[in-house]
Amino acid sequence: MTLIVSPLLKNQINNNGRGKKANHEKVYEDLKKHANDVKPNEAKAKLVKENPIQQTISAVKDNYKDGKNFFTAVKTGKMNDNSLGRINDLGMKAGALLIASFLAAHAKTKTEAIMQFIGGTTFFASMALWPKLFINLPARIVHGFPIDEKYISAQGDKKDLYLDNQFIPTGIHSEKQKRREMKRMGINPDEPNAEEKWLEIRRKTALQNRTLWMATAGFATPLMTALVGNYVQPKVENAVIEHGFKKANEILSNDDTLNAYFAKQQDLSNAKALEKLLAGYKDRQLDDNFYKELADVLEVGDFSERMKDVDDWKSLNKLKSDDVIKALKTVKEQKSTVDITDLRRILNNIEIPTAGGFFNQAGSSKLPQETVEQIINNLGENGTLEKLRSVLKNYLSEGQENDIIASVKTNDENFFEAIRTYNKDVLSKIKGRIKAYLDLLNPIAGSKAESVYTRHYSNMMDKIAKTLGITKYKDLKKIKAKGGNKKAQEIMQKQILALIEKEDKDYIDGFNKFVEITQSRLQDRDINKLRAALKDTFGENFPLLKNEGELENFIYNIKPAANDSTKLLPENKTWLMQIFEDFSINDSSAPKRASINLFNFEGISGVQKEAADKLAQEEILGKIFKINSSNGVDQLLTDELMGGSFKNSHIYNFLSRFIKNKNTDIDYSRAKAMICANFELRAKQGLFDAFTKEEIEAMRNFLYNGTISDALNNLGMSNKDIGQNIRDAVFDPSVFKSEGKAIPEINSIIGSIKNLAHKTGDFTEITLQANSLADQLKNYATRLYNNKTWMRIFAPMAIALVAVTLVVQPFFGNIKNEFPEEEKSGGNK
Amino acid sequence: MINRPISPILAQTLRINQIPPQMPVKQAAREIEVPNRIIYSPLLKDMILAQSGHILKEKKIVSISKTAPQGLEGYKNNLKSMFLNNEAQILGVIIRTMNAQDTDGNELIQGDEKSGNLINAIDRLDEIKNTGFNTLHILPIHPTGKTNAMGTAGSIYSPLDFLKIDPEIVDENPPEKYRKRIEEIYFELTGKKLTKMDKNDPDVAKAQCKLFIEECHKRNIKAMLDLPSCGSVDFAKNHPEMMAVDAKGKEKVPQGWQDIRMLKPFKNEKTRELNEPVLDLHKKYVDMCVELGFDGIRADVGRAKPVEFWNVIINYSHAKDPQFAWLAETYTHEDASPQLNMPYDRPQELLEVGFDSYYGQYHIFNEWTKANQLYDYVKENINMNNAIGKPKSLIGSFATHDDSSPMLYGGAPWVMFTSILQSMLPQINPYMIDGTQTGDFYMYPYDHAIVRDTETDNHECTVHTGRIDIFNKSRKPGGKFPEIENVIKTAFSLRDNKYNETNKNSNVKLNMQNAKDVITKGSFIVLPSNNPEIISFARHKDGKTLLFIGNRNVNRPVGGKITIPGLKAEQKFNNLMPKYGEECKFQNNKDGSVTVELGTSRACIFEIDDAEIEKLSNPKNVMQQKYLN
Repeated sequence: MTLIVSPLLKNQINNNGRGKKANHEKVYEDLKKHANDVKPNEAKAKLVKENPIQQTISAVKDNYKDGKNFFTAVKTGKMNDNSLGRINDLGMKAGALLIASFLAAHAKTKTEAIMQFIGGTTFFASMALWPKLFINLPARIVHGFPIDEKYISAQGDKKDLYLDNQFIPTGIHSEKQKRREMKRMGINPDEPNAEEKWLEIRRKTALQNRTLWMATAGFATPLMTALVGNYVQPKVENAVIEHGFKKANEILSNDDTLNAYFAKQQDLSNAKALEKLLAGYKDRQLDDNFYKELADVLEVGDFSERMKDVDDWKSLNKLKSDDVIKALKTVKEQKSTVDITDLRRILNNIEIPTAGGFFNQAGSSKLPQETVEQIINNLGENGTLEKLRSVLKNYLSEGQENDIIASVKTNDENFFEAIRTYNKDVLSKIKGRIKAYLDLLNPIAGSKAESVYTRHYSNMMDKIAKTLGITKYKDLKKIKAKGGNKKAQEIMQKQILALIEKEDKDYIDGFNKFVEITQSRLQDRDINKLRAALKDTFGENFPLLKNEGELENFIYNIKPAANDSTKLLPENKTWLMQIFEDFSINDSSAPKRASINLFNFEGISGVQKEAADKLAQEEILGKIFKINSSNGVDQLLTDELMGGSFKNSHIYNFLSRFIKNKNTDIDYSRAKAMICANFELRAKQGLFDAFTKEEIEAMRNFLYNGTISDALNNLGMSNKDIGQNIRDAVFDPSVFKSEGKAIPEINSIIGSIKNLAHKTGDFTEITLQANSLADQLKNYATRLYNNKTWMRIFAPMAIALVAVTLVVQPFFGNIKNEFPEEEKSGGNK
Repeated sequence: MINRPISPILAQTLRINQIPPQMPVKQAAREIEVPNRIIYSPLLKDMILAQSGHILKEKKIVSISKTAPQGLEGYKNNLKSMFLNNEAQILGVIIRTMNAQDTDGNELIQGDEKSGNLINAIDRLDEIKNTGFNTLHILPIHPTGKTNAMGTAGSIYSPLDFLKIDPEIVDENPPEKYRKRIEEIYFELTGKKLTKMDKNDPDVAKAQCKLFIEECHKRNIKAMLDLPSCGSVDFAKNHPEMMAVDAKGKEKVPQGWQDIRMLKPFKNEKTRELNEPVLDLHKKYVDMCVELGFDGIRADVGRAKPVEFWNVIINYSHAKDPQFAWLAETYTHEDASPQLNMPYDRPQELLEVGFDSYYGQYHIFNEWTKANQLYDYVKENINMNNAIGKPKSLIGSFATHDDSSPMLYGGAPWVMFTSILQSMLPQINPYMIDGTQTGDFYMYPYDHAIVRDTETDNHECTVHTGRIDIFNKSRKPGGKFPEIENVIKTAFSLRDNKYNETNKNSNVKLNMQNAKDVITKGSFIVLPSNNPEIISFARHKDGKTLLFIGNRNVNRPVGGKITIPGLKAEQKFNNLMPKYGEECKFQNNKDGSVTVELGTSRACIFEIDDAEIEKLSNPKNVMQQKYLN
């Protein structure tokens, strides 16, 4: 403020001392005229005007400032109320971070762990976005002014302008903004109390909207968080899979990277338990219990009962439990030293047999003192049990040394130290290597989560369900219920038939036509008529006409029983339904029955089977599901739908069944992963260069998804020798050497697979086990149902909330227009 | 005798004197060592000064005239200069209770009991003067509104008529010694002879008021009248043209005060055209004050009127009396008011437009648990003074009529502590509300009682518990701790250059000649200590230094080490203030520091020989209020 009164007036004031008869009234009148020569100081508070980018930068800065203020407060004890209030927000964020960290640490998958943090972040983002999008924005549109303005207070604190309904800074808006808003509010900006009304409408609108915000935030924030979380989770999972796959591939790309990776791995999780055990037996005689416990702690001896050779120390892990104990005892003899005092006591008391002579009968006597001393001298200082054994053999009768070895007191420190060293230097590395190997392979072929393998199956189920239209809530509810897989089967059948009828009527008609032609022409066995009829009807590209001899083979293979043509096509619907019923139920024999039903019904020969196979399965279903055989995921879908359930089972299922039958405790998921990874590694190293691209693909399909015969069939290769070669290449025991070191049972499994394959000639017979499509659909439907149920409950809430926030806006900010436009007159002056 | 302080209320109940015997201060007997002085290079000092914004005393003096001592004969008001030079020592009084005679001991004036009035108040002036006060803040003296009233007598801040004096504070039977003068004044005012001492004759009231002020002036006490910020409900009914209404057309009620209505300073707030009836009312109010002999006005809720308004009124008052003083009830810069229907608070613009002094934030001093908070506030105000470019001051508003009795916070020791502290702070005119000087708890037994007899429409004895009663005719303020008064007297004597004269019996003698200048104009130097509860600073001028060292903890003694740049090894520490409470000990470490043990709420002042203290101190710790004469 600069000017108070004019210099002239000031002079006049100064010249008018008390008591002088000055013209004070004139001074007063002049002062009134000049009243507005002064203006109030500009407000120290400033309105914050930021665009969204600046707001984001500010938010980061503000959080940093909050953190800084917090540490300053801890250090100095100084903090103002506003900063203290903001610390609450910071505390919430820090708390959320801690909770997320805790949950992430206990998460089963990486996606789950990452989602803990994304969930936390989304929660705070939702908390911020809800009022912005559904309260502040509509309010601004309806009322013409922002209710979420912020200002920097005179003390430098950033606050919401309407944070406190009773503390609303004034004088911080520009005249232009005020006039614009007043006009929108229907206030004449030039009326005397315009500002008062403008402030009140703003205040009331802001108060009502902030109340609305507080009332709705409790619902809106978790709803928005969940919606965003649902949307983001699959993308996170995909990113995790891709990242893991890429990383694993890099490490698996050559031996150097793989060895470097293994070199870092060590698993000493049993170290504490080992120390506890050893401490418990310090200065105690080691009994059988000790050795059993030690074997348990070391986790050796249970890997394989087939590996019985004890080569050296490092082979302990190949021992079965009894052998382990035996080996440990041997090590004790090598390492533990004999207590001489105790040995002398034992030797002095020992009875040795004496031979009978002419005068004496055979009997026993004490060991001569001289001999005792000789034994002790020969044993020497710090002699081991092993040495004692060899010394005693020279003085005692056979077997007598065992009692002394078993009972003499020993110093076991060296033995314990040897165990420790073994655990640290050998076992920990082996176990670490196994764990590391699995960590590496899981992103590729892990069967539980977050691998390329599981993603393919998940995508496939999604595609099947969507194609079949199994997404209706009521259908999902039925499928999810008890016995729902039966329902799934029914719905599936119905949908497939509907699809066939709807989309492939032309084809069905064509197929019927084919059957009709074949039936009629087969009777007169005139192949040329049949060829001509087929050509007329289907064109020259019809499969049976493309290659020479195809049609002949087709006719040749028709069995005589097929003469009864009336049964060739009873009802399209009937047999299709039967087919799907058969391969939908969870029964290992069902696929076979399905095959019979489908292809071997009365009157249909092997040739018909081939035709039906080719046409009915590949073409009909292929057309329905828009299958492109070059697409990997779609290929899986083809497999699953066309035969996956009854022909194309997986190596994983085989292994699980096989190993279970063998009564072992082996974690077969490890074996599967290792076999697949071993294959990928060798493929990368070019060890399969002798094979064609198709053959390598067949190997891959076989390992990951199915049987050797199906893998070959899919590629149009039926040569049994090729199959044999492929099988031998994949399961060559010599290339599983390093895996064998990590998990010895692999060698056994490989051998068994080969033997079994030779015995049966094909894998088909042993790979018939798989989850039925109906079961898989049930699982899928349950997940989808739960998601939809959640949406059905909360989506209306979300819609209602949004609707409420929008509908109520026009009712906000109204004030009764009782303001006196003119001054009230009257009064007792 | 109890050595440790006990609850003040309990102490009062038990009639226990809390002052323990004073122990002699032990002095260290170490050999003199060369003090470890920190001397800042001139270059560094300039740089720090430029950055810190603290400005050492400048020779160039801008504004005001020196305050000269005044006598009654040819009396001339100089309150404005006193305020600006930090020389006013103010007592806030309520005439209707100031010398009330509560004979039955129920603390409410009823029946034949005589309430305080303008005449019996004169009887307390010698006592007030003797304590060292030189200015009275006379709380509103106007007739009170009777509708929606608070209390049985009506709030003194709820005026029925701003231009009249409350007949209830008129003495219809004044002592003979005053009667003649009242008649003379009455004649001066009206040109008529006084025939009846009728309390309902407004001119009789004015005559008595003028007499009271004359008696103040006789004792060289200045009188400042409290201008209420709002009108009573009855006033509002009679003067709708003056009243503010909200956006819904309803009269604005300041939150928490249902008995009053806000005035409307603007006719058109948009164009900032002032509301003439309100302006005229205040012009007449100034006329009345000058006519009655008041030396200044304390503007209640200064923020309630805008700068344009005060620009007219304050300058008008100066046209009539250039030394007419203005004290604004304004606290600290607020972007808005937390009180409903109240505008924002901006002390600086009120000071810039003409107010000489303001309230500030010392009323929340008890919330400042660390010495730095006090220093920061001192710095903030000195910076504001220097930014304005004119001397402006604060009052020591440690406890006003709007605050709870400081006795409730820390008892008599705390009151003594804050009394000594405010007497030593820069830019401060010490202030107390009547009763504080003897330790009134303001706990009235009739608090919210319903009584039959009332002068208003309210039968409830409204009281803001713990605060001086402004709603009822209550007893004379005062407590049972006369030692407080003694402390105030001693502290004020230092400010008045009358220390040795006032404290003849004391063993401690003051050597410096002009302690007043050191306190009112000297620099303020923060003395760092290792205990945040120890408040330690020096006041320094022309080579003379006074030290303040105190413990702001009301619960226990504290100890610590204080750095005093330039402290001589042979310096003794003789406390100039009366001893109270627990003993304090001081040991000169002979290395430029002193180790202290301070009793609960103890405050001490020392004169030390340390001419270099200002130069040797870290410039960041040195603050100087500029533009003083």
